Amino acid sequence: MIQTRELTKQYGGLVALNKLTLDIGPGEVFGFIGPNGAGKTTTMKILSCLVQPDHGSASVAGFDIGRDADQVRRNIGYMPDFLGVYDDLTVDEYLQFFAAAFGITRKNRAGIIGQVLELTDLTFKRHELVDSLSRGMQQRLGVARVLVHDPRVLFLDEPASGLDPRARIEMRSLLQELGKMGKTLLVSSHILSELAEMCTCIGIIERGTLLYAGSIQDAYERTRARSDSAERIVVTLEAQSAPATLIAARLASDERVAKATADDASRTLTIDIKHRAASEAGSGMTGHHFVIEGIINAGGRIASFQPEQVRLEDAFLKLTTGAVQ
Amino acid sequence: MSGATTSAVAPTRAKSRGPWFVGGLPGPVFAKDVWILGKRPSTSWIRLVYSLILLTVVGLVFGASIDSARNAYGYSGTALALQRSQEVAPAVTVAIMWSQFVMLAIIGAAMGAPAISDEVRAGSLATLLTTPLKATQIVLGKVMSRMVELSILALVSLPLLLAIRTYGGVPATNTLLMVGICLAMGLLAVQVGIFFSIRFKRPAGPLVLSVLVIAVLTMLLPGILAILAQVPNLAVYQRPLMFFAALMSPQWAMVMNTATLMNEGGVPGMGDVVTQSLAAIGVTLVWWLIFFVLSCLMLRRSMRAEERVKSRGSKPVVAAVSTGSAAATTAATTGDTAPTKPKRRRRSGAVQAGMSREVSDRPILWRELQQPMLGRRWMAWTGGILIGLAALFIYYVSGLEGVQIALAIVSTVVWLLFAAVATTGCISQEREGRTLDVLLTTPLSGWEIVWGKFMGGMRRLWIGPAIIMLHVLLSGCLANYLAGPLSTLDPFTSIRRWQGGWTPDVVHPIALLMIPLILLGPIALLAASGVWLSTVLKRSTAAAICNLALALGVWLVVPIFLLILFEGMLNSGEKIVTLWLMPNPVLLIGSVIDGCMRDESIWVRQFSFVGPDDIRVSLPAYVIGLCIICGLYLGATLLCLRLAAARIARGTGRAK
Repeated sequence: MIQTRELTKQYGGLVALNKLTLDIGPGEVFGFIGPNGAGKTTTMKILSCLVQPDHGSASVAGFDIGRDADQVRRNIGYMPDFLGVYDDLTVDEYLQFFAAAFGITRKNRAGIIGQVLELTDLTFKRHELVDSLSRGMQQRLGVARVLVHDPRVLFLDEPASGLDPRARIEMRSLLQELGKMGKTLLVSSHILSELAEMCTCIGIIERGTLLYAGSIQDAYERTRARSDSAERIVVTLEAQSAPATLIAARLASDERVAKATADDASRTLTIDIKHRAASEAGSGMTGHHFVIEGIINAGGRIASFQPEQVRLEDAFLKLTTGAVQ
Repeated sequence: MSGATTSAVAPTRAKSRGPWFVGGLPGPVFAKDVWILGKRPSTSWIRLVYSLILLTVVGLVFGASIDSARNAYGYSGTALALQRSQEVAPAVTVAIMWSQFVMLAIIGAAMGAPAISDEVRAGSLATLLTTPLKATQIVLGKVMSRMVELSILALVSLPLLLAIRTYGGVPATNTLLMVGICLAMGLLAVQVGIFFSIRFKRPAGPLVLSVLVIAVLTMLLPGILAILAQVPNLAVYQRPLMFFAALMSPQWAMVMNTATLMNEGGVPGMGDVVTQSLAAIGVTLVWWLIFFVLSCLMLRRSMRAEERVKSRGSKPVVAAVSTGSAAATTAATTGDTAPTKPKRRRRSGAVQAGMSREVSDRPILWRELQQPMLGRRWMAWTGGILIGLAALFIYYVSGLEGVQIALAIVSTVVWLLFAAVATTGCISQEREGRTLDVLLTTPLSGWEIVWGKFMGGMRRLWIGPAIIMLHVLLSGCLANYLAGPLSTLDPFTSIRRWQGGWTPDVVHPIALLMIPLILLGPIALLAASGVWLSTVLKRSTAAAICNLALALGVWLVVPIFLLILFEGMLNSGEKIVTLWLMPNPVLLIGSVIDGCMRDESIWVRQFSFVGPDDIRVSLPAYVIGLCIICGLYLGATLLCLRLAAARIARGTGRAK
């Protein structure tokens, strides 16, 4: 659905985008991750035909952004990171305005606007001035706007920025809903945990260079592969248990354990499992049996047993560290 | 560790404060603004353009003056060369001073107009208002920082003035007085610009209002006093009225200094030039003080409201004052999701919040047509009442004798000024309000966007010609009434009188057809060039200034340049000057009103195209000429709109 080939954009001496090659399939929810100034917005602007690339090519929904810009525009919805609104219009007029801009006839507008307002939960604000909406509502209105012409692809630049927790949750569920509707979404965000929950794929970009593009699971695997240990397990022992340091020493002697540390005061054990052990055992609790057995055999009584999950933040840090000079 | 942090921070702070006199008494706002203004590319451009204009004016005046001096004294001898220098020096000094006078006032207004509104739009004023800074410190900092820039501009001419003083023997007193008047005028312009900037979210409005207010204070008010002094019933007050009229007008002080420098012995009966100039500077400073206090009070009001809102923990008031996208910006910085219910504003048309209008299939044009015709309602009413009162006063005092042409010309100039800034924000405001990107993701063509914006501007601009036409109509009725009360009750008599043209001060109704023909083209061109500049330049203030400069250049500077070049230096080429002056709307309005007021049948009257080579033609030929000129203007309008559409289309791959 979205293809870029060696997309390059420079602003003066600054390389905003450096040979970006990307493939996003139909129906995917693609999370675009990167620090400020990494090139996320530039990519979105190029794909939305707002900025022309210096080199390279791209197509959206099967249309080339250079040759068929008009067709591209009809098939995309772009929501910028900061939504400027016309303060003198009501919500309904605002959506009518863009519906008219996309050539939707007056007859069909009311129905379409009703649907998108219902989807974005703004029906009760239909005749209020846009200016009177809260920030969260304005963001939702932005989503409603991009849906008015029923585009196949949505570019959402930081849709949750500046929102409070409740508005963020609402926005996330709205985007998940859009994903279920079969839209292809390219979403950029700094809040990585949110992307992890709703994205099928992610792309990590830094200083204009794409460092990673693929599924989230694959990103986690790579993160594990780059770290010394494959998995970390945190165990809390009961009061009647054997000393944590003793158990840690016993576990450390196991060849499948990379490192085992203990804190007697809090009765906590931290055990890092080696890569091979993790891959041989496969995913899930089956891979941890030898740890449990080792603790029990050493006289330990387990109060809690928690394998630490790799988070998207960890993946981002691991995959971007030292990648771009 | 902490030592390292301190050593890292301290030099940076010291560096950012700049020299002691920058970070001194006027406070941090002054230091910041001096720093920022100095770094802006636009400031460098202003300095460059200012210097070039000054150089051109001086060059032209010098060329014309030295030529006449050569003719008078011949070419031989050092003594004669010095003699020529002394002849030329006053004219060059006067040219420099008048150029400075006009330019510093315009630049001052242009610098003051965005001073607060830019901060509001960027959301930084709300932050500034939360600091312990007082309103006086903020306003004074803004004013003084801009005065630093104006002083730098004034210093540009210093070497030349010193040279003139040394070799030309120009009296230093008059030069210093004129510099003082120029700077005082610049100070007032900056302050008025800042005053309006507090209430407006875009700088184009404050810019125009500043120019108009300065014109009212320094020209209209003294003019009214001068007119009153001529009223027979007030003959006893003639001297004091004329005295105050002269005091209130820095332009008059400039004229007196000019007369003194040019060895014309000053203006008889108007007192000492030094006293007069110092008094004019004093009055200008009083006006500055009034506007300074008003600005501080307005800003303080905003600050207090801000404090009140802050104590309640809701949306900043600055956002509510500014409204619109600026409000959204401020709200964004606070990150709130449940703002206090905003003040419900009255919108144009009958539709209020709670109802929605149906958007037409041309959304850009539709939205432009929904915009209020004359800004805020209170402004429209105040403006209308003031204009009406001024017109009534002039009708009453002058009895129409000789004011028809002046009124038409002044109205035309004012309206061209409005036209020059009416559309300059149409695209740049979308950019500043961050709505442009969203608009450009729609399949609307460049032409649809540009045409919608242009027509929206034109809709707001028809009022000007309508007022001029209304004036012609009303003054016609009034004059007929004065000629004989019964005639107003008998429309046929009025028409017969008009047709016969026997009432001398009545403008023939044929002018009602010619006025739109004259004004349509220039207004359309200025609106279109405003749209084009709005697509080219990032900031609406820059677009407004450039469009004003374009209008002044085409209709004022170039003709003066041509006049000096052909008349003063080459002593030929009158036809070229006349040709250039032919489409000048101000001259055309004057000549139409003049032609329509004469006491002869309309078919035998001669209408003139004003210029050194005065061309007089009959009515049909004149109307054809006006049609051709209007066509040329509309052609240029189309070209500007096409350029604007192409500019929008470029880079976004859309249809032009």
